[in-house]
Amino acid sequence: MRTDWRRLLVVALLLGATAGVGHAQGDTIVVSAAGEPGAVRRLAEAVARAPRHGVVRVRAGVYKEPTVIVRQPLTLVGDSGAVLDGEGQRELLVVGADSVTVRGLTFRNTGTSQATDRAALRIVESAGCLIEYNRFDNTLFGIYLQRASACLVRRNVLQGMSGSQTVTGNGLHSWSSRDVVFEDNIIDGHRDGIYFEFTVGGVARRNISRHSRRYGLHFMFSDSCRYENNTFLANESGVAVMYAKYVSMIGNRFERNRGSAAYGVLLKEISDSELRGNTFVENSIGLHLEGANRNQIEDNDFLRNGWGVRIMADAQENVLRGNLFAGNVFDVGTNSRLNYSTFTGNWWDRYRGFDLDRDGRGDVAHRPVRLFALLVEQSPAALVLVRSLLVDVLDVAERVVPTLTPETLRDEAPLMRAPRTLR
Amino acid sequence: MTPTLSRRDALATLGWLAVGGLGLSTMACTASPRPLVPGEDSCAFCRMTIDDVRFGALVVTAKGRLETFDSIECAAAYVQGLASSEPPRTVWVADFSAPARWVDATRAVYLHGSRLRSPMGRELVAFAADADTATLLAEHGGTLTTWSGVRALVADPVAGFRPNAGRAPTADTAASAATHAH
Repeated sequence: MRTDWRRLLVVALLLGATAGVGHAQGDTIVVSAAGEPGAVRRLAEAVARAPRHGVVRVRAGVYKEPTVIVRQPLTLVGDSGAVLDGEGQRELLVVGADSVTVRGLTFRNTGTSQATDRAALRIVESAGCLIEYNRFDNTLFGIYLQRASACLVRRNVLQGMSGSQTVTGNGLHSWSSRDVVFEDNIIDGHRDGIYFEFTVGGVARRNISRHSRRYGLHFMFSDSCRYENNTFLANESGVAVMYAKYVSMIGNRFERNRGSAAYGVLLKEISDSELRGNTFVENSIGLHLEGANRNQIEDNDFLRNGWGVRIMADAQENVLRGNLFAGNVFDVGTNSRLNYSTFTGNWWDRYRGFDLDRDGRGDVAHRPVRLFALLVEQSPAALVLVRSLLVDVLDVAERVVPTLTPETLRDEAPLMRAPRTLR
Repeated sequence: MTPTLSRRDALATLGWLAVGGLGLSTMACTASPRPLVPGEDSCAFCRMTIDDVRFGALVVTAKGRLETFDSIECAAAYVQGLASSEPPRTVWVADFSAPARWVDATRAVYLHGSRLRSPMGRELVAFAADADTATLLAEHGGTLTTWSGVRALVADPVAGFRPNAGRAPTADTAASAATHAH
């Protein structure tokens, strides 16, 4: 894999960072808002006084200080109950140095900002940061990586702002960064849960992103990124993957992303990428492909969606194989009679053919586009007729004598048995 | 020519009869500018759900249909893609300082590359023609441009990863963190 060495580099840098902690026992500065003897009272003072690769230990208490800026390699560790509070006014912590670790702190109350992307924790032009076991409450942006590299962000819990705001921010935001890893975070109630913009070699793994006001995961102009085993649940618009290539999405779950323009996954101008082993459950549209070319879409489950897959005429040379379609209102929708992608060896719960030669494949091709799906494509308001007798008649007529549905959009070798148990 | 309908036509007619009533009701909409509804309207170009209306735009097509956009760059790219025989009737852009107000795109002033970050990475915002441009530049940075400048800009593709290109997003504190030790 092309990015393996990069991940090794990340690990090496992180080991370097933690090794720095190990030998620095004598370099620990304790901060205590309560005025513990021998401790300093203000976090900013502790950070300024800490030696390179030293440790700042933050005792329980609420710290309300002007934004703290870290300018040297450092480990910041919060005891349980150590809280940085922005009082609705400001960013809390800005890291402008390499090899900085931030662990165990609670960040809260950044307040909103009309013209700036205000973040609780911002990493600026730094490498090798480790951000773990922190909590973010009521923050506009949670963690903001800005031209960062080789950073690991894991096991943080982020809760966005409640109530309705005109300005909203993202949970984990990576802008113009490379080789950043977001792992095992829980992100709730932001504009976008996770956002990769102009990021290369990013990895998001085992995160749970839910209740976003827009997207659970959003990425644009970010090549060679991987998304594995994440759960995207009940986000207003689902997940949008746009304007990138060499994207790998494996084993993710896209569930209950509902709304008029909600997609399990929106693939817009994505090429040479793979979607494998993902589960799309109860979304308005499971997977939407537009201007998306040469993608491998294999072994995914599309269950109980409005549309399982919606493939626009400008999506070309995609291969859909081994996918499972069950309980969708429309398994496949399209805006055209032309189709330039390949559907083969999928399992369709609507398939009515036989397998007389017992090779496990239906003897007659399956045409997954209902006539009514085409009509709805052109006149969305027609959707109210979806359960009507007339529409059923139209669909049967079209199945018997196909005339309007795309001629080449068919599965020549539909599976007779579901390749997996339904999840 | 035979007077009989082809089977395909017959089916199509049947289908259209079924949706006709609904179709008529939606076609009756007027194409006067209306406020964007965040979280409900989506962009006709990039398909994104519109979140921040301050960057939004509207296009009234030659056929009189109203299309919504999450960003000026998307509206401009959409207009570029229209056939020359079907130019849009009007393009409206939101006044960043008063987004409920629509400004004719050809009359608006635009900031490009300012610290205000538009949704599609082009760093474009619009203001009414009579805006105080000196103050805007001082406040947000960037350069002034016009609608034709915007259209020229979107003709170039957005680069992918841009190390040290583009402008850093505004942070309350990022500037002060710029001097740092490695």
